[in-house]
Amino acid sequence: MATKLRIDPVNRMEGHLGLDLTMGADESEVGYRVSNAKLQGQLFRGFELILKDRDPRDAMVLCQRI
Amino acid sequence: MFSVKLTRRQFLKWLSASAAALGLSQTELLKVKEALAAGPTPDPTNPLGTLLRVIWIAGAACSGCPTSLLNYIADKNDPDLVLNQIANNFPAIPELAGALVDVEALYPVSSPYGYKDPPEGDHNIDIAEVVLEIVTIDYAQVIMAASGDLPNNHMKSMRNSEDAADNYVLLVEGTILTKNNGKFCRIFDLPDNGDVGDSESLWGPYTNFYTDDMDVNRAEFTMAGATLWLASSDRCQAVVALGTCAAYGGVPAAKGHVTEGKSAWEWIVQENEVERIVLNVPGCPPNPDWFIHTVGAAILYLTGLLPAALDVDGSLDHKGRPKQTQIPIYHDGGGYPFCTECPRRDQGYAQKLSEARRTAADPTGKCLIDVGCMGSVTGPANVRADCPSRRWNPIESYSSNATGGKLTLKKNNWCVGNNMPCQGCTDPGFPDNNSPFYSKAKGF
Repeated sequence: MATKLRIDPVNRMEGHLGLDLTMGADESEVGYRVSNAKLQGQLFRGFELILKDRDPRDAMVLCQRI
Repeated sequence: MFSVKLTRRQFLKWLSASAAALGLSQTELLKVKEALAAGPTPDPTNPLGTLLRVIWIAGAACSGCPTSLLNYIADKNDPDLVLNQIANNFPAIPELAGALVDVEALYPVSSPYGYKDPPEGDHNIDIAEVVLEIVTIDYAQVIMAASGDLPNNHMKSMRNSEDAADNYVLLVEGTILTKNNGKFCRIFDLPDNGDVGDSESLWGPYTNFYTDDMDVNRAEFTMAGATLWLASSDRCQAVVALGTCAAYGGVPAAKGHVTEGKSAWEWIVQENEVERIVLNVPGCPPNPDWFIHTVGAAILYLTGLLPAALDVDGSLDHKGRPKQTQIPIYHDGGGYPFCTECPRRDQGYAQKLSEARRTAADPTGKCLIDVGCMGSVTGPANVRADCPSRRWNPIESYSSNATGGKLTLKKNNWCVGNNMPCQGCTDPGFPDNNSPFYSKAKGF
């Protein structure tokens, strides 16, 4: 019987990441493998939009904060 | 429900094998087992124990703030009152002196980890000691070892607890994005057993309550929802807004954004009326000293151990927000121009960025006021921290010989010293008030 694991947030990394794993079988069965994996990037700040209509050299300062 | 099946016997066997690989002795191994069994609880012998649990959540952040904090090394000769107390194990407060970990007793010269320090040398506290001994960080995505439902459920149990031993301080890093019910920034997902509220709760509109394809009820929290959920608990004693993003909005809230980023005070207290003390620690990133000072001062003030440590000022700042703290390190509105302590003053004026460099012929470097340095701009609209004197990136150099060793602490880096005009990153107006960064600053 399939099982599912959700890890959200993924720890010890910069930024926000969610993980959905589906295993095709129960852990005690043969064939216990990841059958489907989905990652979700969970943050949008819109740096490209923020950079528009500014002095180009401001990008050096603002993009350090990505 | 996913679980790892190991018998207790197998686990202990594995532990012994790892311990052997790590070089841990039997006594230390026992401590590890006890610690694992006890869970993340503060040291009961520490008189500040219950106040120092921290739940750390990050919104629209770059992780620059924790990265900066990792550089913390205490300076025994620090002129700042609070930092000096922390670095020297609180000599002015007898109840605390000696209550903190005595590293020399734990790691005597003769042990494998022998820290060969002469008795009178600096024995600096570093960030690991702060995080493990002075404060207990119960949840922090960027440094915690556990992942998945385990740490999330622990956080939930603390938030819902009726026990004062679970009191915590909520540490907010990064901007809180509020457009589209906060969906631009989602931060954690945990099981919903009827104990995370519902769509009618204060955080309801910013939280996704759903059922996954295994028919398990779960709740996915956005930063907007999570800040309200955690701050509205009776266990939450205060909110610390770490970094300019959480304190004032910062870079994600700059002109051109579409995400409606808000600061911690604006979102939690002003818009949603959850009344909590909010301590702002601005800076992009903040110098670790500023953060340790703020948190240390708050603890000393709240416990009554050193009431003079924090001046909680109820007056409003220039944007109508309560100034929760007056911290001399930040010289808030007090008119402290960098120039008073800057070695580049009166050394000529760089007209282009290429002239900003220090060279063999000009080892001090020219003043950067004409290429955008904000260091001279002070007054109620701006905040000036003590960068020219405190500086950044402490470097410990350790030299040893057969009879012992000597530890020295050097702090010489700062933006202006490295040919970069001050960007005014502690300002409430950062970045828009200071942009364009390489043109002469407005307003002076």
